[in-house]
Amino acid sequence: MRFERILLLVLLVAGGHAATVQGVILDEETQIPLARTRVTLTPLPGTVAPILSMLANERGQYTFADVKPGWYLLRSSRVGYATGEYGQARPGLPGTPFEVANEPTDSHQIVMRHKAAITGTVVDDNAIGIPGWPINVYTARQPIRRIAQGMTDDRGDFRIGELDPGTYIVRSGGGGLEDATTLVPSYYKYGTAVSSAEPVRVRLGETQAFVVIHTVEGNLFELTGDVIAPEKRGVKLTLITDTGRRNVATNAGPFVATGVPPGEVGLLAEGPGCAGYKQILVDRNVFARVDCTPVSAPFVTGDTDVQLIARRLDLDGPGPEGVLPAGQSLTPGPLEFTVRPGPSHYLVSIQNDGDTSPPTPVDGWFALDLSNAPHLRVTLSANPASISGIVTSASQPIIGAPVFLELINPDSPELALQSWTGRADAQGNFSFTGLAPGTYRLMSSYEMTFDDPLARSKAANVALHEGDTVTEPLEMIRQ
Amino acid sequence: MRKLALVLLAVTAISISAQAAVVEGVILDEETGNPLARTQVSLIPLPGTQADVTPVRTGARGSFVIISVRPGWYILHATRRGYLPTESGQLRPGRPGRAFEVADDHASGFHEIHMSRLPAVTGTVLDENGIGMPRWPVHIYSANKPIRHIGQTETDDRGNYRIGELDPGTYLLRSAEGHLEDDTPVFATYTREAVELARAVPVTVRPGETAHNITIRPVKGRLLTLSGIFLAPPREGWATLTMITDTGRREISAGSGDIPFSVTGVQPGAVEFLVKGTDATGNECGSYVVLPIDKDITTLRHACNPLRKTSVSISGATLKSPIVVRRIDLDGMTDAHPMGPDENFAPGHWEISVPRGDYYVQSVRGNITPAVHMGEWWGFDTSSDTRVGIQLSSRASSISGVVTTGGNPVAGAPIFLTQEGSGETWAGRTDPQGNYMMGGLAPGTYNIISGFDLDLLGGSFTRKAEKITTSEGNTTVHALELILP
Repeated sequence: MRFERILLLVLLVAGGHAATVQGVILDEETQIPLARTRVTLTPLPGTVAPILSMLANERGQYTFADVKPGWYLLRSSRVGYATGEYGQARPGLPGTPFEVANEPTDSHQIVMRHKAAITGTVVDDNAIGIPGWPINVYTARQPIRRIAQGMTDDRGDFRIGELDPGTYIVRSGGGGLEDATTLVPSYYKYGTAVSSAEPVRVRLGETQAFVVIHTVEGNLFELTGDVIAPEKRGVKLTLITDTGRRNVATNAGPFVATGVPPGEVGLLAEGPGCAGYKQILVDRNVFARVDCTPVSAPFVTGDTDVQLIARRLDLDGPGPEGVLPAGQSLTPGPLEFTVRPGPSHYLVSIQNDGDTSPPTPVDGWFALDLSNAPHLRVTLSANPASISGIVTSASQPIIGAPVFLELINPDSPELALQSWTGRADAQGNFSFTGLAPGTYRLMSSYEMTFDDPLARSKAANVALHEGDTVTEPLEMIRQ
Repeated sequence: MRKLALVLLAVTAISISAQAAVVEGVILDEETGNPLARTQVSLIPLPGTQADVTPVRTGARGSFVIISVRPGWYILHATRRGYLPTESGQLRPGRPGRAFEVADDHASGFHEIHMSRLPAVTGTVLDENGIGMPRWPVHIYSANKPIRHIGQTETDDRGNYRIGELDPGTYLLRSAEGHLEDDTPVFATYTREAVELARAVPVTVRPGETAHNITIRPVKGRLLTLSGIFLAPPREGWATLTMITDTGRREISAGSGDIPFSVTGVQPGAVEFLVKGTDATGNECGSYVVLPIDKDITTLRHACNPLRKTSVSISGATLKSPIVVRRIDLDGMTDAHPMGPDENFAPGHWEISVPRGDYYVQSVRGNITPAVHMGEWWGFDTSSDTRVGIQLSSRASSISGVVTTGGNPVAGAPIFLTQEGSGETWAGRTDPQGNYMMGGLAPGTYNIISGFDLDLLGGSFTRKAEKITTSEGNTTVHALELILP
């Protein structure tokens, strides 16, 4: 009896400090539970609590125990689906935060929607599908980058799934048919020039069907050359184009690559203690020499206290990003670099030391052609700008309101140079720090994002100069 | 001089028109009627017609023209990736076509050949709630014994899969073993929800058909862990240890010296361990073992044993071309290829096929296991010291006769012959007078049939075929009545 009283007391005390958040994750199309979905409970700014994460059970159910009181967002993620958020007006839009008090909460159901997909057929001049033919998908917005690939099936049909909503360019690869006929990479619907490509727009949950590519006959070329390396054995030569890559040699010395489509070609040599990269334009049968020479780690000058983040940016698309440890060498060729300096600084530029001007960054990344002995200059500024304010609707602060910020070029405002997403705290206050000078647009909404032209037209435009601290009150945008 | 040339040209033209003709036509897709460009077309002479096989490719609009065709009887045969081989005049896809006569004039009729797609299977791998499982491997096996892994694919973003370019027949579909997002292990599972082969639901596909909605629901279960020591050659030597199951293979160890290894996520069932490498002096070494696995094992030991050169002895007759070989592992077979002079049978399971001639194969003997005759293949196990003996006999038997219908001989009638026991098959055609001859046969019992519309996958062969027993060195004469549709 005494034990039961103590237990009750413990439970009451525990109940005074923590609560439970539970719910279920469902597929939007079928309303079927999504087993083993990753669910994350994230506190709003101002709520002092850790981020909690777990997998839903086989019935799609989850339970977070011992949740500290405060305001939270609940997100779900799963392969093939767009990130779900509790309370979102529809998949793809920001969810609404909720308060966890010292009592059990209601069940929180999240409905997840599949990502987008494109299906179609690669056909010959008689509209017969070509089996086993490569397919490439590129982002339609500049800079155009290859982001997915696939292969046609026995009927010449293809499906590229797990796409983010957006606009894409679809293109077949090059190659030879059953006879001596050769096909050059061809865009949907017709043509070999990117200017003739018809973009394909997809929304979440949608499958854009009947993307039929009519292939174009044309010349493929032969690329011969020589790889010069300190040691002959174990030198791999990779041929890279904007439709993929393949190994063309496993030792140094002469090499031959046939069936090369016209256009830019990267040749990457990697061997024991050496590497080399050469990019050439192939518009006929050509010869190329690739030197595989010793590689040294980048010599970094300027602001060297921050971690350099790098990724390759070959013709066939960006590679995985990673922190570059001090002293680690990089294979030469096209790479992108960035740093994440924190709120007290902003990144001004990363450039090859000696270049007169840095490249224009894309989403905060600086693209450089790296040599075998690179010298990089990193420039930070200790005088960043910031924007803060309060999000209101009908003069009332909006707790946890989603806030979207984009750096834009005023001369072509359709294209965002860099994007940020934040949340207001429990009092409706938001803040973005560590910003570079420039023109920004800012808005808050539960019903639209900057993909919506209406949101862009209603957003507040703010010009920030170095060191500015701007306060910008935001009225929540509603449709 | 110019006059002489013109006369010679005229004489040549008259001569060609008197002795050769033109065969032309078009190849179309059966479903759409669209032309099939670049299709391979072969004009094949019947026995008795003195001409070579003439191959051509169709043009951009699917049309073909074969000129200078000698008079005689022919079959037109078309092949193209993704389509069933097709013959002119066939009653339905997959059936033999009709022979036709080319006479001494320029026109021999226009041949329109409609090609049907090879069959396909599509379906979905579903979790316990009926949600498609993306990027999950799917395997396909032939359902007829011996059951063999013949292909694999991966589900798409919705958990759907498609396996095409299949021969008409019966298949088993199976999802791979693996782990779910929360590391829950699942067994390799046959259609629809079977771990055991006996409970698998086979799928039959016919020419041009796609079998849809073949769902697989992977079954949760405990996968096993295998560990032990890989006794690779000492330094300067190098070897790899590969584990092979009927859902794939993985290299589980590589290097020199004694190397501990451990492999997890192993499906209970037969597991092959294959060792390949070279010793410190550069000589090949290897080993092979197949084990039934039903529990965790920690005491495996696999060594790289010295390999001796494979010895293949052939006696009794002379082959005009090399024997054809292929290696069979649990995850499938290598391409069949002529055995090279320096080729060795690495330890494992191999099959050989002896080119046909005016002899027959009396026996194939391996020094590890007796060879098993199945179809045109003889299968046997090999080790680090493999010796194979092939005994041929020049006293082959044969079967000949005439195929008639309504008392009339049938030119170009298809003949199908199957040996009882091994299931080895022969196919042939009658000559323009309806005569056939099937030679190079071992003494034994055969089933023989002739027809233009026989469902060889179904029961018509066994129901309607006639049984013939041959004896060594003799020709059995047997008249056949054409089986009508």
